[in-house]
Amino acid sequence: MKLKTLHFGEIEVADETEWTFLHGIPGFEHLTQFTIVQQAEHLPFSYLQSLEEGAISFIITNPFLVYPEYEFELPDFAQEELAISEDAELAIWSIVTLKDDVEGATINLLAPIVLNAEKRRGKQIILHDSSYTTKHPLLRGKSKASDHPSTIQSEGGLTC
Amino acid sequence: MLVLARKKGEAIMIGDQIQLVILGIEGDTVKIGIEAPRQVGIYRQEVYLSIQQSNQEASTSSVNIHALAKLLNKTK
Repeated sequence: MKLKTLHFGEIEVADETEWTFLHGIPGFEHLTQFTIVQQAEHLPFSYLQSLEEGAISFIITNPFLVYPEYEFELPDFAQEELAISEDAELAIWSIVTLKDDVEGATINLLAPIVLNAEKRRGKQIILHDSSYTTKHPLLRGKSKASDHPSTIQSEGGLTC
Repeated sequence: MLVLARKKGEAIMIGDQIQLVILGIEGDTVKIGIEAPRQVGIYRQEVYLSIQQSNQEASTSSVNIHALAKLLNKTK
């Protein structure tokens, strides 16, 4: 399918790169189809782009690059919704919020995005009783990210 | 809004699959036990609202990742 987007103009999206979020994501419960656009290969950021509204996209990154100690348990209902089997391959992403001042960029660790490649399903998980918040500083890991750009690629999760 | 008075130990059914039990009341805090099908997400409202708000802020970011790229380059 062809899609008009805000950031990338018109893009061609192959069926096999689509992700279904059965209940959308909080704040965008009506949007259930997304794709991941990797705009610049050397950067550890990608876009989670809505296929239903070209103007809606989110900057996402691999949370473990910035917070290697990050961990959470996948709740039962999320495992169910993502149809996770024993040998499912999961990719974990976090949404980045940019303010006008880029250095104030934050990363949402309270609600990671989990993708199940086998079923092409995704969900933004809201963690219970977690000490994580929606706004951890992104730049904590800046020196690491620029020192080792090659490892960022290999750890960057699934892109499409 | 439907208002029901319940005592400690009593419960409320929502449909035939969701049960809310009043486990205890201490001061102005009510402890509620929830039994629901696995596919039902249950959240504290303020947490869900904070995620909604955070997503809305993230989606309207006027800066794109090139700005972030610049920032990373600057820190090299």
